[in-house]
Amino acid sequence: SGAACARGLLSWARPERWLASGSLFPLSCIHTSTSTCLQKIGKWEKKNRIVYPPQLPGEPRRPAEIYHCRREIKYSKDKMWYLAKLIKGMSIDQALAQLEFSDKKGAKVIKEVLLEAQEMAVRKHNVEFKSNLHIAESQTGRGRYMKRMRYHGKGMFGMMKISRCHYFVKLVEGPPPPPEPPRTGFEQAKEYVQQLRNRTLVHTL
Amino acid sequence: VLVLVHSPLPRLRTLLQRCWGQLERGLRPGVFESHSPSWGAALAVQGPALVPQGMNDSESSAKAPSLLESVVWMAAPKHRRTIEVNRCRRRHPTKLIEIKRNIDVCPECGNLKQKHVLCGYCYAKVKEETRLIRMEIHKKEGGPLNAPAVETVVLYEGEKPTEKDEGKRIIERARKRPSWFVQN
Repeated sequence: SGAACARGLLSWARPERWLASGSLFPLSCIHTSTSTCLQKIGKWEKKNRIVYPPQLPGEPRRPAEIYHCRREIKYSKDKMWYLAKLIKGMSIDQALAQLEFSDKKGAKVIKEVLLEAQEMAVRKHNVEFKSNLHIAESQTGRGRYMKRMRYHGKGMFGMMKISRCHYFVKLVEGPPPPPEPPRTGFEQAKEYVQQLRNRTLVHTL
Repeated sequence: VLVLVHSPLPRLRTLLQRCWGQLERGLRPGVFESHSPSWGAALAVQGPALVPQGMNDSESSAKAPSLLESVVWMAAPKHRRTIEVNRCRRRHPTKLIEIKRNIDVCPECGNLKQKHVLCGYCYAKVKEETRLIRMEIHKKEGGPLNAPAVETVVLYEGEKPTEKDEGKRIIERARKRPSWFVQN
């Protein structure tokens, strides 16, 4: 639980500032990996740190990407997946509306994560309008499980696992992309004919 | 704690074993949905074998007589369901959460509300005010079962009782009248 606490701390603390806060002397700020960080910083948290080179004048504007996650949520990853699937591809306002009126336990957690991410986007990632975000990716991951005894009658017992999950979300600036039209039979037939045409004949004239 | 049964005759012992097995299967079919493999494989050995304790050959012939004598066969999965089959079932469109299309904006406070439900924020506001009014009533009454047999009128700061409120009980609230509480 101490490790989980540290991880929780690290998820909201700005990772770029660890070097300045941990070091006592100015020269020791080079090697702070083992002394300050008790737990590894997850890959999703590190994605916020990438810095692109400045864009050339002719390039189209790269939309802002904000990565946020919450670790060790006391919920099942399979049940959380349904909520993550619900939100995928929606605008942030629509997602917040759907989560507010969902009866699931994970809905409250995901709503908090989205609000945190929205605030992060406006404050640190140079997003102009907080409604101009959409959810590009939303995934769940397995957290640490604990095995416990579940007592049945007549002295029997079973081993149950207390499951926890992580939730990851990526917000991208801009309106949500239009949904893909479903594949028609005509398109599938066209693809099939094209595959037949692409075949090459070997050992022939 | 399991009951130990000692039976002197071998016929009685086999009868008891059979009865116990049938009893267990008859009375407890649905308890072990989550743990049926462990119950069947690891733990059931103790059940029928432990009951007629005191017999020397009970451990060696624990499974065989119970399987041969019991008539009731339980359904059990024959093959492991692959993850692909599991995914098809878990991700079927009927199992996914439907998006709700009955969400609107409350015209009073601007929060979201469902169309057929009162706005949560406005309801909480009214609930809080009602709680304070009830506290005032409680202070005025002084104890339980002191409710008068007349109507009650709530007056806010700067309001005088009108001639319509002649015989009614008056509750004073020390604040401005809220906009949503319309005076009669």
